[in-house]
Amino acid sequence: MKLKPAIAFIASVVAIATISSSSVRAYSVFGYTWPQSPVPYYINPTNMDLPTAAIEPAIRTGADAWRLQSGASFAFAFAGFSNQTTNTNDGINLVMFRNASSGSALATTYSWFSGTRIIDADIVFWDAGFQFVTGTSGCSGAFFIEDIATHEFGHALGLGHSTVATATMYPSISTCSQQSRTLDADDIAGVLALYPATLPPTPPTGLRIIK
Amino acid sequence: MVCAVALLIEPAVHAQRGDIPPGERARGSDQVVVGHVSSVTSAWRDNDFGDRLITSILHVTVEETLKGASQQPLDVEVEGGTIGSLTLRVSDLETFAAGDRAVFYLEHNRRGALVPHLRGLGLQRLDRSGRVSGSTMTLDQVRRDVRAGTARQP
Repeated sequence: MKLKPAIAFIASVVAIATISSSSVRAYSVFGYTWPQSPVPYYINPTNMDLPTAAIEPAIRTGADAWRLQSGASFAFAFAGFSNQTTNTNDGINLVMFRNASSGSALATTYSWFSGTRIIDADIVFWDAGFQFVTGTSGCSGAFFIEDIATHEFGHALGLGHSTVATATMYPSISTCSQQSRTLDADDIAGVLALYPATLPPTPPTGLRIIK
Repeated sequence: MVCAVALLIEPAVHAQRGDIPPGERARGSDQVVVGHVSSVTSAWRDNDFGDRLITSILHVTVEETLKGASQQPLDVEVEGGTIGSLTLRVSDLETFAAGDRAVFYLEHNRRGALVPHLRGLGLQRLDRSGRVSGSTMTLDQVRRDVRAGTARQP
């Protein structure tokens, strides 16, 4: 990775944030949605940094954030562990760690679409280039899985990147940041655009009971 | 895809992948060219990890070679694409169409095919004014940085 002065970066982030703050709709969508909910996913927890017992709740935090924080009519559901190490369009939505690097990408989501429907989504954490941690403490120069997973599950449900610097779907993150696990208003607007919240039944208006 | 880039002065801050300069991208590449996509075809391919994926084969007309042997034209394989009604989208890779112009930082995969070096970092789209899309960097700056970066290679 290239080392360069931070000033230009900070200036660019400020510029992006300034532009984004005036945007009504900064999120982007792929144009595809899951036809059913909940959508099951599996975890292959084999990785270079952490025990399985730490991986599962961290991944689940990322998956559940979208339903719990938005009220959207969509949910991911943990279906169990897998020892699968490859991804393809097999109907198995898999989260895995790969002992390889992908440039500066921490993780990648592979989304499969047919017609207007999402039919498969697999998430790969690039384990060789970065250190991952879980929870809320004990981080130094690493990345919290909860935050990366929340971003990637956003892709898996059909969201692209946002230009809002504080959004979960913003395409970059700082080391040890815990910001992405909490959805921004822009993220919530995005997921609700794809999966509108189920409204409580409203009482009929203008109805009179005539005895 | 969410990504990070280390910075010298503020190591806790991580930026977008676009902040990695061309010289750095070029250093590990087998070949760097400026060109435009003349056509795109999609095919099923196994990547180096054994993933069975739809891959777009970008047929690239080379305008300029910045590193490596001059070769005309090139086929560049990028994960993601459409076959029939089935589409694969990969979050750290851009999609390209005929007419798109870019700087391609390339390496050979295990099958010998040319693929983007460091995945998404190996594709730097150019806009109509000749600047890197989403930045103020000009193609001239890319040329200088690539040559400076590769000149420092041992």
